[in-house]
Amino acid sequence: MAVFKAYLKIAKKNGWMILLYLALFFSLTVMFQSFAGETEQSYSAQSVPVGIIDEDGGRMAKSLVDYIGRTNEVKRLSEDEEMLQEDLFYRNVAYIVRIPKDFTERCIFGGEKLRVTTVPGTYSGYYVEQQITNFMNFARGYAGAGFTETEMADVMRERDSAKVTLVDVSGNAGIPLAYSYFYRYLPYLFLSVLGYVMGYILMGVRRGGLPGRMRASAVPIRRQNMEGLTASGLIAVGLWGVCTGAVFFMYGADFLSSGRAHWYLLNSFVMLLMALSLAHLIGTLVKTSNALSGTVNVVSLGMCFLCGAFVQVDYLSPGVRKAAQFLPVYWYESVNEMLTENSAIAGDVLEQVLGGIGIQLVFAAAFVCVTLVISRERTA
Amino acid sequence: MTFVMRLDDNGHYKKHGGKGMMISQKDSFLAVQGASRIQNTGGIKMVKIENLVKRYGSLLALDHFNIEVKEGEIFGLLGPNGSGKTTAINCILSLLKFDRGSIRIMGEEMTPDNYRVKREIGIVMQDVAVFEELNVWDNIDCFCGLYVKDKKKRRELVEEAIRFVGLEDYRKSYPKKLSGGLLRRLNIACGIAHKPKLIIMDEPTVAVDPQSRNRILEGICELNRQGSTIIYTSHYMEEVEQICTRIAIMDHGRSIAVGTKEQLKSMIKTGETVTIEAVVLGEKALSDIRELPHVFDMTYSGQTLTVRCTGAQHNLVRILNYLQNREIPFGRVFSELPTLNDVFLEITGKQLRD
Repeated sequence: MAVFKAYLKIAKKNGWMILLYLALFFSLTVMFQSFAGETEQSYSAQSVPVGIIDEDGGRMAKSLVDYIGRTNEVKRLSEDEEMLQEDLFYRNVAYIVRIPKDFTERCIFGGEKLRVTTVPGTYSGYYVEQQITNFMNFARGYAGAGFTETEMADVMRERDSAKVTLVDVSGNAGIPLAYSYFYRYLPYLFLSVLGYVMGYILMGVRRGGLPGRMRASAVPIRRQNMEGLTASGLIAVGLWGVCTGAVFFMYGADFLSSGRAHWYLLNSFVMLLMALSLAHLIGTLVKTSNALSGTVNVVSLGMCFLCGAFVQVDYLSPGVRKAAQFLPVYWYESVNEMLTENSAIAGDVLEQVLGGIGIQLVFAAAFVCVTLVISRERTA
Repeated sequence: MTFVMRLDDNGHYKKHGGKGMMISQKDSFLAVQGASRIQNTGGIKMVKIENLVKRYGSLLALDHFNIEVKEGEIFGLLGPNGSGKTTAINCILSLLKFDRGSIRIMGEEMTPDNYRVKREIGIVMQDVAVFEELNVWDNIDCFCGLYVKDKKKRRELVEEAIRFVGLEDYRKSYPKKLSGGLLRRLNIACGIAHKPKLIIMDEPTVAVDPQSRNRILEGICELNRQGSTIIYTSHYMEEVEQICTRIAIMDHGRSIAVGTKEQLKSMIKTGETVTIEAVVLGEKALSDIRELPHVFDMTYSGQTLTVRCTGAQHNLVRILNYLQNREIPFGRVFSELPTLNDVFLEITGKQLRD
């Protein structure tokens, strides 16, 4: 097992680099995940202080005030030009709406515009104006359909209380799973660590007269290759084990009870195989550590940016998405996204998940074949 | 005169004139005498290479290359750069496929899959072939592990190899921290740790300081004393002359002469070269010296006289007597016995280091 041990010893020599990448990966994952969580949980409609001068006092006028007040802070004001200007100047209100007498007849049936006063160029003004326009459009729609003022007021109130029930396909109320971030960024860790470690090992084994000395030794080449592959496999599985252990440690119960844990594990393991085969190809091609560093960075960062690891697949332009389909990480991320969005992996979803995993395996096999051809050409 | 020597179908050396010249009867006798002596040296054949031909495209790297190495020998392959030494070694080790011929090691045909034979071979490559990421001990242990499975035995062998090459103080050092000489010693330790019967060393002293070189050469002789047969390639004739029991001189992929250094030197006319500096000679004196017994070649340039004589004794005395009798003053005087370079020069018409 001399070759096996040599591989592991060279990998051990690069242990600090593996630890550095792991530390970096875990820190960034936790950081991004916490940022993402904060943004989603803190979302709420913007509340703007709106001044109301209600000269009508009718049912529809009250309905409009309630509509505005649902998302904004309503302040009743009296018609005093000086006071109103003062309120606007000190930002006690950002928007003033005047509801005229005979509001229903004049503004809803008659189409007269509401008189408003706002601080010019403020977003809050546009925001309130949009809400008022919505109300008026609905009310005019009902009026056109022959509703009376009382009927309109009732319908508008019912509209307000109407509830939308979303089908929770993902099983997590649409909130992204914490560990989905971890698995989304995982290709970068695999591609970087395996790329560097395998690259250094394979460059070391190919250096100077070493291949000749190894080939002339008493251990058959096939056996040497097997030992090398076993060592590479062990390193890769070790890396996967550390990552999986970290998932269990950080998200334990949530992850295991999701019913998708085994799919995440399978997808990441296939990704690992692909990364390992690609790392072998890179290690076979590069000759210097500078070239290795450049290649690994371009491949890992490039794939992760283009394929939806760093930027979600949905946000990629159609052109980029089309190009990314020729890269294995895209299929990993697609499967990952499907696992995040669907609690039940069955039917079409199952087919797509298996398809994505299969394509990754095909990529892995292709990289292995190219590596073998190059190695054979070199030894011929 | 440019000519090469080849083994004919009967196993005898034949000289071929570079320009279609016929060889003299005397030359032919010396060549055949050298060849017949090789056959009489006795010993079990460790390596036998017959009519090996290796081409790189249109380049003929080995041209019917023949050698026999007997057990217990330090066999030198001497030749200028590009003469085919490394190609021959790579063919012996089955690292290269050859076009024609056969290689037998310890009586068995050498093939890439003959691991029984490979187990008994140690190699010291021309390029240092060690793992930069492993320290001295781990490197030797790794390469020894390719031959010896038993961990305890291997530990002993590694320690022995470290002591043998004098790297006791560098066990934990990494190759990058070693000097060129120490690195070469590590390279040797990696090749010999498993105590092989046959050690093939391809220019192991290239770019090594004189102190390390001496240590390496002493080590090679010690390995030979311990029972290993050694094939040693070099383009340093002094090294080959110093340690090799038999030598094959290579040029253009052919073994042009094989024998002990004495046999090789006896193949050429030059037995002694006398050089006299600061001497002023007229035409008469030059003619007289040329006519002295055993003188076969003479050059006079820049007041330096170089006289080449056949192997007979008293050449120097005769020349000096002539000068003294005619009261011709002269400066420093040198007398040199032929070197392997002279052998190479006389056989090929060019210097070994050309």
